[in-house]
Amino acid sequence: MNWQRASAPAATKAAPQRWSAATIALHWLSAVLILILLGLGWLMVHGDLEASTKFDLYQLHKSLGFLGLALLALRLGARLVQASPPAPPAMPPWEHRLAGLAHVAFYLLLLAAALTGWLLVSAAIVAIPTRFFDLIVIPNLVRPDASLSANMAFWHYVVSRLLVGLLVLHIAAALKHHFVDRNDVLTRMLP
Amino acid sequence: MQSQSIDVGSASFSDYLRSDAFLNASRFSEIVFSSTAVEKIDEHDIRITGDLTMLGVTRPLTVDVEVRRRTAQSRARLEFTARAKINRLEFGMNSGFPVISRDVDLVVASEAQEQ
Repeated sequence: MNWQRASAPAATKAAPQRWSAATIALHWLSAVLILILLGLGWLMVHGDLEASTKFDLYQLHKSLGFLGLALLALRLGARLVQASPPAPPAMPPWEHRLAGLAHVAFYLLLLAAALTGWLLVSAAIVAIPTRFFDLIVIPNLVRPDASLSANMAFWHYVVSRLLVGLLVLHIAAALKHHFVDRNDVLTRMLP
Repeated sequence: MQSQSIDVGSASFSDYLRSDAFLNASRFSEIVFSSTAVEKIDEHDIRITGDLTMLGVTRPLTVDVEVRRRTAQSRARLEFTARAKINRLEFGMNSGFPVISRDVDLVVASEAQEQ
């Protein structure tokens, strides 16, 4: 839960005790967005829906996915420019390293989810333009390619399942910090 | 009929079907069926042959129409159910093939009521 940068700026400045308001806002916005995207993804693929409803849900999923990608870029930027709160003193080094790895895995999986999704719609034989909330058309990354699209659909699914697993681990770890370790790792991320 | 009038219950889906991927409604504003012959098959069925023009391409089309007379109500009604199959590739509508099928089933239901 606590991934502290060891870079020079963090080391020379006093580390803050809480995450910044912007980081907290981005974290919870991303959390809500990820849960909606996972639910929407399941519903639009498995739901017994009218074709028009399905079409709208796919378009919404794509728009929210690109919103997620934008939030991810902001979050990565925030991690690079801001110092992180220190790990609780009693936290063992292995747990600190594991938390860091989990956070890196989160960022990589979110990036992979966005990119596999973008590639699968770009390569789709049914070329449906991706209109970001009906404002702008997102360009395709590649030409239509049925095999590539099917591969990316598979990996998009795998990444989404891995994300669910990591989410469960993330929430379990936050609860462990709060209720078992009784440290402030959870509370300092609360709004 | 006007290509622009397509309405599938979703504004964005309808817009997509109006785009050049399918109906290309801005360029081909009308879809026209002109009958050339009507043949009575039996008491309830007729066959209409004619030409369908879509996307600037004209192809022959056969439409089977089932006619049912309903007399239970106070005014007699005639129900017509027309069915045809269109090979969209013949009209140059190739988008999404083969994920989206080649054949499009056309069903038109209408009713006439005695005045």
